[in-house]
Order: sequence, then structure tokens, then C-alpha cells
Amino acid sequence: MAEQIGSGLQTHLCRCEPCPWLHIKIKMGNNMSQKSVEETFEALFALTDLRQIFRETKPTYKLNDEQKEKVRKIIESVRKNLLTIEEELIK
Amino acid sequence: MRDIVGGIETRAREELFINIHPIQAAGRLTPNAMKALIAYGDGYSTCDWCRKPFRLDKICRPPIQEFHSELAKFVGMDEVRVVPGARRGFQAVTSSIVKSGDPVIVSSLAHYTEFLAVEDAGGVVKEVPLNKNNIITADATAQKIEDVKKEAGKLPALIMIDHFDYMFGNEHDIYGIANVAKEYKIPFLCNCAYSLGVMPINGKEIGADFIVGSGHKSFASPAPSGIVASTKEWADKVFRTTQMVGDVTKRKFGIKEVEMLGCTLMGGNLIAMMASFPEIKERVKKWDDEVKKINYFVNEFLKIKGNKVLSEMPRKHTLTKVDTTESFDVVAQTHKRRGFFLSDELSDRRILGEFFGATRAWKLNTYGLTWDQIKYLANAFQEIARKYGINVA
Repeated sequence: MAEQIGSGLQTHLCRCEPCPWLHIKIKMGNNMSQKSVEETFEALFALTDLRQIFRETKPTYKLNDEQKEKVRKIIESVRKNLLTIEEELIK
Repeated sequence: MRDIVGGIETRAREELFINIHPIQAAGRLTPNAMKALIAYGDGYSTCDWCRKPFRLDKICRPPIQEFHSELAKFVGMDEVRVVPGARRGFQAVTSSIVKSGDPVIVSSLAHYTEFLAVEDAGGVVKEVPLNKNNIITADATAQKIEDVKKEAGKLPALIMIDHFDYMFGNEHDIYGIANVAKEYKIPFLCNCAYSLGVMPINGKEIGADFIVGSGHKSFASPAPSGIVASTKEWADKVFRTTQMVGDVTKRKFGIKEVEMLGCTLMGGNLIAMMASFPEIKERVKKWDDEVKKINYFVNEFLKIKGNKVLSEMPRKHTLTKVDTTESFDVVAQTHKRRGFFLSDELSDRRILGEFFGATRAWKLNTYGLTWDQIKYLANAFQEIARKYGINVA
């Protein structure tokens, strides 16, 4: 997750274990709730990237190919996040 | 769009509109800052790993200590602290070095918080007049120092001048003023609220003793947030630690800095600043492109008959004051919506941030807009002008 957020600060911190900086993989076992929490943050962060695309393309929202590809990837990743959450918490 | 909770609207104007609000442009968050707020919004979130010596700028996880060190390098100063807004930076400096009755030199375009910071310390502001181009020069500053010396019988305790002012976005001669300050041996605070975070700033190259910046104006950070930086010569004074001892308990809090009131900018605001910092370091290198964009915009804007730019030209900053008294205000005189017609027309084109209802002198800021958005904006003003019969060259 730290790498996905993406900045030198997070990368630096990941040298520390357990890493407290926007990084869920702390030493508490890989239980179900931890996975779902991680997926929730990942979805929120991905949707934040989508928010940024709205900001960059307003008010016409004419997306170029690169932006369209970014949106596709965001939607795909959020869908995966939600599926995992559904799988772990509801089913 | 639904409210978050009773009456608190979901604020989506940055996603839905081109926002030309004069003070909001460069404080818009980076995506990383928005993510940081999601994860670090809880109150004392920065304190998870606070260990001895129990001070915010000494915390290593998240790397707040390292951020301070990097930030000092970035602004070309020896010591830096984060504060709740530039105003608290002014206050830390004035409270440390201005005594009751001391004159303090400020610009005739000084922000009101500079006045208040001087007043809070018991000082008296003395304003340097503007030249005919609305610029503060080194010569005018030197003359003001001489006037104050003659009148008060002592030199000013501090010179506090804005790099770019809030009224016109004009650049003032801070390098020349720093030299004057040195000649008179008066400390110089350079207010970089509109420049630190959007363009390269190096305090030592300027020759400043203090640099103050604004997180929410120019550093893609939430309000309140700001920066106060100092040379090592002044750091011990401004960032002095407490000497107080409780008379009953004998308690003392030796590491805490008096002007910072201990820990300063905690929680999500600080982490958002830190999260924006990598992008800030990159975006200051692209300042020239921002200047090109505002100059493109004003050139198109001036094609509308009657439009004027009150700020210095060509533009050196994206914050710009314009005058539409002889164009849009003429329309407003007979329009049923009076001055609000312009806001209505802009809003219909998904543009906002102008002073609502203003059709005479008003300010805008194009910082951060893409070239497509800049062209859209320029075209929108021309389209509105044509619609109301104003000639567009």
C-alpha cells in the first residue's frame, strides 16, 4: 500500500518494521478484518485518484487516452477491493 | 449532491468547476494529501509513535523530524517549524524580537495579520509607501527607516515585507530590501505566503533572517498550516525553550518551545503537508509555465474592450487584480441581476471563484489550471462579452 500511495516519505518509512505510515501490514497476523481494512483504504485511495482526474479535466471531462486508461485501472482495482471486502465480511 | 451531515454540503467545487478564487488556487490538495487526510484525520494521529523528547518536530514515525530537516533545506534556511498558518509565524517572530513601543517596518500592502502580529507584541507598524507601479522598493524602505529613526529616536526592531502581496500579486524588491536591512542591522522577515510552495525560494539567497510561508495558500495543504524558518543566528531566540518551573510541583517542560506553545501543527494537517511535499518540490520547477499561462490568460482577457489589469504587467504571479468597470460593469448597470449577471454567466460555464457580484475591481488566480482549462477560461470571458455586445478584438 505504501508504494501505491507513492512518495519518498512512505518508501523511507517502509524500512521500519512494523511500518506505521499508511501501511496496514503490521505484526498482528493476516486475519480477515485486517485484509478488509486494507482493501477499504486501497479503494478510498484509488477513488481519490479518480477525484484528481475530475479535477484535471473539469469542466468538459474530455479525457485523453492516458486518463481513460487510468480510469479503467481505478475502476478495476476498486471492484477487486469491494469483492474482497464482500467475500470476507458478508459471504 | 447530498450533505455529509445536516447542512454540511459535500464540497465538490474543485471537481465540478474551474475555481479562480484568488486565495484558494495553490492550497488545493495533492492526491497524496487527500489520502493522508483520509488516514490521518483522527485528532492526535501524529502522536502514535511520540517518544522522548516528546516534541512534534522530533517524531520519527511518521518521519516528521526528517520532514523538518528537508523543509529547512528546501527553503534555504537553518531551522524551520510548522505552524497553524503564516500568521502564527509572524507572531512567533514579533513576539520574540519586538518590544513595547518598537516600530516595525511593513509594506503598504501588508496583510492584516502582519499588523495584528505587531500589535500583539506591543509594536507599532510603520508602512513603506508604494511607488507608482504599486511596488515596494529598497530605496523607499531605506527612506522609511530614516524617517522612523528621526521620529522615534531608534531604529525599527524588524522589517517585514511581502515577496508577493495579496492585493495585486506584485513582486516586491525583497533582495534589495534584505540588503538595506543588513546595512541597518535590522532583522528582515520575508513573507512568502504567496510564493513558498509554488516557486523556488531560498531564504539565504534572498538574505532574509526569517521566511514565513502559508500551507493553505501555497503549499497544497489544509488550513490552518504554515511555515516559519530562521537562520541559525536567530533560531535560539525565536525557537527558545521554556525556562518556567512550577512553584508547587517544580515541574518543568524544558524541551518545549515557548513561541510554538510546545507542539505546533499536529494531526492530519501536518501529515497532509508532508504528503504534498514531494509534489511541491517538483511543481516549483514548473513555475515558469504557470507564469506563461496567466500571461496568456490576461492577454486574451485584455482583448475585451474596456478590460484592464491593475497588477504589474507582464504578470510574474498567477494572482492578478483586474478591472472590468468599463466592460462588464457597464452591462451590470442595466441588467436585472445587476453585478450578479457576471457570476451567473460564469457559473453557467462551470467557472466560479470570482468575488460574487463584483463587476469593477476584483481578483483571480489561475494557479494549477491546465492549458486546456486556461483556454476554456479565456474563451468563456470573451463569449460572455460578445453575448452582451462588448467588442472583443
